[in-house]
Amino acid sequence: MKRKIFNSQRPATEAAAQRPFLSPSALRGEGRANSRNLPLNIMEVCGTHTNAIAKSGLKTLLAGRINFISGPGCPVCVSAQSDIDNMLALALKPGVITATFGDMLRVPGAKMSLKDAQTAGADVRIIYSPLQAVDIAQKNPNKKIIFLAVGFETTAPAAAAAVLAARKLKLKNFYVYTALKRVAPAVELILKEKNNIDGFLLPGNVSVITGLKEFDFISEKYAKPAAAAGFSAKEILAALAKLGKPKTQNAYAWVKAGGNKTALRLTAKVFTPAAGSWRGFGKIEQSALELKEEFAAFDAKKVFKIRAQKERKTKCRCALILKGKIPPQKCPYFARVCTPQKPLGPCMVSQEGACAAAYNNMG
Amino acid sequence: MDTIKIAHGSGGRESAGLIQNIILKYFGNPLLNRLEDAALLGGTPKNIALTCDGFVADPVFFPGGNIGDLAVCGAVNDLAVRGASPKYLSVSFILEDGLPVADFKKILAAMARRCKEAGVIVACGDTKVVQRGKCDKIFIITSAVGHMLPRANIAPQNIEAGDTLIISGALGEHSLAMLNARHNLGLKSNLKTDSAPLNKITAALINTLGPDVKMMRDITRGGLSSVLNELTSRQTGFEIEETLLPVSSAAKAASELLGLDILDMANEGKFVLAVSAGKAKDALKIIKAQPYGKGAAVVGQAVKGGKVNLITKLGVKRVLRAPLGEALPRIC
Repeated sequence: MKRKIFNSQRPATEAAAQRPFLSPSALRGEGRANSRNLPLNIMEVCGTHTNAIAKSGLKTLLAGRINFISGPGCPVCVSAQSDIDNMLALALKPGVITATFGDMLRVPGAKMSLKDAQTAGADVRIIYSPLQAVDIAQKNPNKKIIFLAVGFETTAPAAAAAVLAARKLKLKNFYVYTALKRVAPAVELILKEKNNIDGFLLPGNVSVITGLKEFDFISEKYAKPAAAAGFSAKEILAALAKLGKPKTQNAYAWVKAGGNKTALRLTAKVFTPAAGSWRGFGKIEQSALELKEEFAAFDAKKVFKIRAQKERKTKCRCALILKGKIPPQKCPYFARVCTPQKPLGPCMVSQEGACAAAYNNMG
Repeated sequence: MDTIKIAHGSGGRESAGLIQNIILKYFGNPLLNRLEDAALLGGTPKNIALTCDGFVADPVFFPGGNIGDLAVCGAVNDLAVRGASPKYLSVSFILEDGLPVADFKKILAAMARRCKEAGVIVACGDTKVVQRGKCDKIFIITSAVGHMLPRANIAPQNIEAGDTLIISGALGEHSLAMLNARHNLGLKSNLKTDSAPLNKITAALINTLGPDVKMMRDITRGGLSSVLNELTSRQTGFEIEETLLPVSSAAKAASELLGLDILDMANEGKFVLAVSAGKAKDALKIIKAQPYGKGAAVVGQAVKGGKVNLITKLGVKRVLRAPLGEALPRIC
């Protein structure tokens, strides 16, 4: 079927005329792309982008010109195995209600997933907003409610608001297990190592919270282009068209300089950056958001005396996949041993994981 | 009597009272009023279609309806899309001790309204009451029975490459309305269930187009992607176009926010139809003429090869798979 694909989608046309390699005409395949070496390796650092790029067909459409690489952008996927195992151990404790976002449910732990724990009788509840966990705590004074805070800078403010609400309500049965993470330190780790990445699509939602300054190091220190992108195919294309120069730019209307001050203030009030373990990456300095000392009474890690443990090795090749060193298809387990029905790691579980996106959109 | 109590299921006077004073008020008809062990339906035992469906809903009341709407429409639609004309229902209630009678009445009223709309009557029924916590307020099991329409020839193997695919209206409304209500998402939208009986539309289609109506299936759990994948065979698959899919702006916004695919979301009053290409226009006209078919649209066609392909807005073809497990919203 022939379609005029880009006719309605050229918000960046004039701007794109100045770009050396990613003009819309080059993306369309008209004429020769004046690039030195196509395809360009563009890493997206957001699970929603991974999913949108696969589902909209951008990946297929731009094949040969852009090679999309999924970076550490899916919050479920970057959760360290130790965190997942700890969360499961907590969920199985008697008298505990675990409040979690939906996509953590099927992530495999050492022996089982939260979903299996639920079947085994653990009280695991799916929530959409951290404040719902506070509500559950209020309604169940005789139970211990543990909220699994998984996510990036976008989730942290809401988690902070929940902790503050719990303190205001003087709740003694509300705890947070934080696996919250900051995106920038992981991107920097990838850039510090040897890599073949030509540019970055930055998560628009994270940029809305943090502001773009957070990502200036990509161009300033490592001379790579980066653009904050929205989530429709059109918005992703607009961001791609900005990747011509080694600058960190914005292509998502909602991003304001300095980010969202209210959200940042909330996060800073409750959380503090600390070293954190990432799946496949190991420890990254300043990359985790831990509860501040004054909120220790809400910190599940402290209250339930969770000790730091060595990362348990699993078969999952996430270390290579999350850093963009191999595509999911190159993992020896992909679609053979590891499928969404029987995942070896979280990247095959979450709809936004690189492996699940690759699996679900196979020909 | 304010709440349902265990005694209402005991078979004694309380049970009789519940049936006489409440249930028959809503469902009463000469067949049911006899309260016999079985309803004698009469007619010749030929080309009879029978279906059975169990209903659990969380929450029981939701925007646009309640579990009663689902219980009648669900059973009616199962016969309707198979090419039968539903006539009688059996209804079995499992009630939780403590269910407010006012709530039960609301559910009965919804069922009575839907029966009237679909032209069916409740021919027999049963009521049980279980202890608190043994069921979630109310479970309903319905069966529907009816005669096959004389010109019906509905079967997946009738589908041939080139047949046109039509959907009777906007996708995903029921699932998204339920998710919004179940989890207090607070999406301030006019999302509501699309629960509706489809038998008038399907009968009109079959009576007019006969065997040109190749296959029909109501789009419920698993959404359009599941239905189409179920209907593929080795020889025949489908190709649908994203730009042609009828989706309301409220459903689109809700599904994007939750990171859920509208193609995996359930409806309770929509069906997909494969019709001979030459009769597609007629079929569309027939569906659109009915109140529950106003949003109907051609969305694609049957093709050779046993896959379901989706042509995205960008014109890229990709395989559309059936969803896996429960639809779980994403984190951010």
